Amino acid sequence: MMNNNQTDAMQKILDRIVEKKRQDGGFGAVIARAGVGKTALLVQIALYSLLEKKNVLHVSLKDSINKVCLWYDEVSNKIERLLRSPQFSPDIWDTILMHRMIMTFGEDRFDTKTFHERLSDLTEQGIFYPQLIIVDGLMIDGQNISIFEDMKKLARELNVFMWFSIQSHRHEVAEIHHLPPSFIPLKALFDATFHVIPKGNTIDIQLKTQIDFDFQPEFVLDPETMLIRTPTV
Amino acid sequence: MCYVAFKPDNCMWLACEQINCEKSLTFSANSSKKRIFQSFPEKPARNLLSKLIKMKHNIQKQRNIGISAHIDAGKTTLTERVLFYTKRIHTIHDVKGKDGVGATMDFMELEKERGITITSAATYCKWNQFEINIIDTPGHVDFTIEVERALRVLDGGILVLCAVGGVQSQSITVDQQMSRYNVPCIAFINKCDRNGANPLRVKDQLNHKLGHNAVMLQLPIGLEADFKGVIDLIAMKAIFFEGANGEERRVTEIPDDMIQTALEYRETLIDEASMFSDNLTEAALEEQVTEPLLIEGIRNGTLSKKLTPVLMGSAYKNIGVQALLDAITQLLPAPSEISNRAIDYDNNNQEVVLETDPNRPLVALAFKLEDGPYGQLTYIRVYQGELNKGDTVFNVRTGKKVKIGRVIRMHADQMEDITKISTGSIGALFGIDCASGDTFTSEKVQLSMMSMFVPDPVISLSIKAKDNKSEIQVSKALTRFTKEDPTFRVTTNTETSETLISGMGELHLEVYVERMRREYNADVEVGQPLVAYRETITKRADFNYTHKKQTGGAGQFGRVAGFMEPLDEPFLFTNKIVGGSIPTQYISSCEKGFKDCINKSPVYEFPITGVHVVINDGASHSVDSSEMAFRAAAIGAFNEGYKRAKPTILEPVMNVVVETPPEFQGPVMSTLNQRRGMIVGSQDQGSYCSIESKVPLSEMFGYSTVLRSSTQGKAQFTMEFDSYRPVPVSIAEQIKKDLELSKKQAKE
Repeated sequence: MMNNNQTDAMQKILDRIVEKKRQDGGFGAVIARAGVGKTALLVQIALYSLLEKKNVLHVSLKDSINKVCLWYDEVSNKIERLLRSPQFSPDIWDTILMHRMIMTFGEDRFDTKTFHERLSDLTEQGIFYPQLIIVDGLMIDGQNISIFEDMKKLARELNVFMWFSIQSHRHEVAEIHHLPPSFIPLKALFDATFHVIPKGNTIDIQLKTQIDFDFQPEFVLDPETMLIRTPTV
Repeated sequence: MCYVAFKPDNCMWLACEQINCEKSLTFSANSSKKRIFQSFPEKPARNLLSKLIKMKHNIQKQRNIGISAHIDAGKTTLTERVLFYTKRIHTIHDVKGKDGVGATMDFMELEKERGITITSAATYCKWNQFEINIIDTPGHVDFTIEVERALRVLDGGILVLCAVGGVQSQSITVDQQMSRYNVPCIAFINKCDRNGANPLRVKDQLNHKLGHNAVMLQLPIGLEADFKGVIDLIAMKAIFFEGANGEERRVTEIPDDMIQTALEYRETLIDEASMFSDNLTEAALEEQVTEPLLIEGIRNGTLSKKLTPVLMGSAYKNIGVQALLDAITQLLPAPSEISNRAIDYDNNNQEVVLETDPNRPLVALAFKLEDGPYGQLTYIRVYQGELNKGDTVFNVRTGKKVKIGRVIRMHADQMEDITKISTGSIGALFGIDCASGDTFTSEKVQLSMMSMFVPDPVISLSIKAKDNKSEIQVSKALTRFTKEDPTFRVTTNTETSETLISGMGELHLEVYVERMRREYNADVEVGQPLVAYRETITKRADFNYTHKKQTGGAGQFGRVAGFMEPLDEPFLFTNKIVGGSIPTQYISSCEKGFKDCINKSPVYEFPITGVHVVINDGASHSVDSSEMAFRAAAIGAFNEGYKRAKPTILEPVMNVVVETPPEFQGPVMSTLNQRRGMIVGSQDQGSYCSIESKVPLSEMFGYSTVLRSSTQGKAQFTMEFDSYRPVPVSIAEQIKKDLELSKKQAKE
């Protein structure tokens, strides 16, 4: 069971990563195989920022708006189950919704130009200024490298931190830095990576980052909820 | 004496006293007579069976289906084609056609003028010896009750989707309604001839957005302006629709360049369908899949609602409709294949399964009322037994006997006299006095069909007749409309003496006002739309109130103490009195007193919701306490506690979905934002994007004009009730001021 201290610790770590790199257009990635829970982790990261009243734009290239909303409902319920205390009272949830915006694209229709246009629609009309952007479902392959580079420019321009989900494959045994080979050319763009690696009966979470911490951040994946947390003290 | 019963799972049970035989047998419409007779060799049983099999096969060849979809997906156009190909009509008229006639099913003047369906219209047609009852339903969410009623009595549905728009907001609502009544459906992707049509994307949306297991039964040959026909993946043939109105089907081999794709999709179809048929699985393993086996698998999947067959075409261009009719007869259920349940009042309100058997006692549901030139027309679905002209039936709700006069079958606004409505069928009766949702039975069996879901109205409008003559007409019209439509309500504001009509949206009320003017010649003045606000409490508060009137005459005394707290349900009363401080006989009076208060709050005078009242103490007087005294004490206690419990006004918030070309996304979001809307997200769909938001209803009046002007008329929106949310303090203040002003004006 997770306690409030553990959520606080998680929140502090994520906050530090985001705040340290936001002005430079920081990039973070959740790397995992299909079905291990990348979306749940991204939503968890988003929820911690939303609790801090930061504006989060959730961009999904695979789910509809309703489904993304359901992810938020489910992950928030799981966080409450983990903590065994209500974290998201109706008032807090209302505030969260005011700070959250969802954008969905067909995977084949996503390009940085269109995304920039949609984002400008929001900012120019004064509707929404994101501080954190979650991008779920953008595949990495040779053709997409330029998209990531363009997204980096955009992140710098808007002073936002972007978290991506990166899918690894079973056959891509994480030999080189424990990272999927397709991710290696993009590695330099990223400031932090959460790598979820199933090992036998357990699942390891590795945070790789150049950002300094006063302590050594450690994480485990809660087997019941598939959410990350700091280890039980 | 022989008895026979058909069970919903196609199992026939037979008991024959003469030969002391009792057997059951499962057979389908395709089971051979020989096979059935082998199981029942005795002669009396055979004679009876012979008759019954004929009857059973008649039921098997009956379909009750509904056509539902998002606004402008083409439901009425599709129905028009269905009627044409089944030879019910001889000329096709379009919804907003240049001939000004309008589609057959949109027979109301208002429907023709506006090009929308307002009331669901029933019709009947024949295709390949199958009798099909069709109900065409409105797409606008304001008329959602029409869809609810139709789906309540139908056995199967056609979910029409636009090949460009795909799964739109109202498609989701309609799909939820189909699930609510467990109606199996097939999907028809219409408008494949339109620019931007992509049926494969729509099929994916069916899976992702609606959670269906959609599987293609057809592939398009060409798309957009080049859309010519479809490939039938079951027969593996190409079908083209030729002739002036597409009435001639030309079946050819699949074009060479599409064979590989067709084979791949057929493979997927067989894989999916084999999950529902062992015979098909075996045949697939042996690579000997036949058409009937494949249809059996798809049908089983469809009936269990685990598979959604997808067909496509363009109703407007007369492509693919006949294939859809084939699919209706082959894949959608016969009345006997659906399990219909009723509540048995005689048996502790237990659910009983009705049998689609003409020999069983009648059970029929009046699902819709309409006032026609010849009196009240009652649409009825017979679930069990038969309803004959001249029969005397029993209305379970009123307990009264009713004699059946004219029995008719509807075809839009025309009617044909028939002698009976057979089991599983839909028809209409004349001159029966009943309410919508009443159950009729043939004898005094207390069976009642389960009611349908009726949403609460969210918007009101004050109306006033301009002269005395109109007043009588308005009164007549309101009586009729409230009887016809359970979502249309009429109330009177006791302070202002205004008549308020309430409904599901601006359009809903607008249509009724217009109908009053046209059909009743009533001259009415309409006030500003009013939102159905409610109130709730936000914190716990104690109360301790003594009602005391002991000066002269019979005295009154009662003390009620306890607390109230916020609750998720509308209202709950809990009695925690110990030691008899309030005598047991007065507890119900206390409850009644609290319930009286719920209807009108002591602060803003709106109905109250979400309150848990607990009483835990009190006092009584041996002579002066009475039921009336405790009721008054409870009212006083509620008023005392309510003001302390920090009451707040709740307003209806609507789920608003705007579909707009991407270049107008910014301005559209801005219009929503200005209306206190919370934008949930935007969904990019290529040629257009849909913006989902939650906006207070009070801010949505006149939005269609604003949207039109800010998007050059290229965007459209739908809205439906989402939830009640607290209003901001500044708005609450304004509401309070407006209330005081209207009261002041009423006094003057």
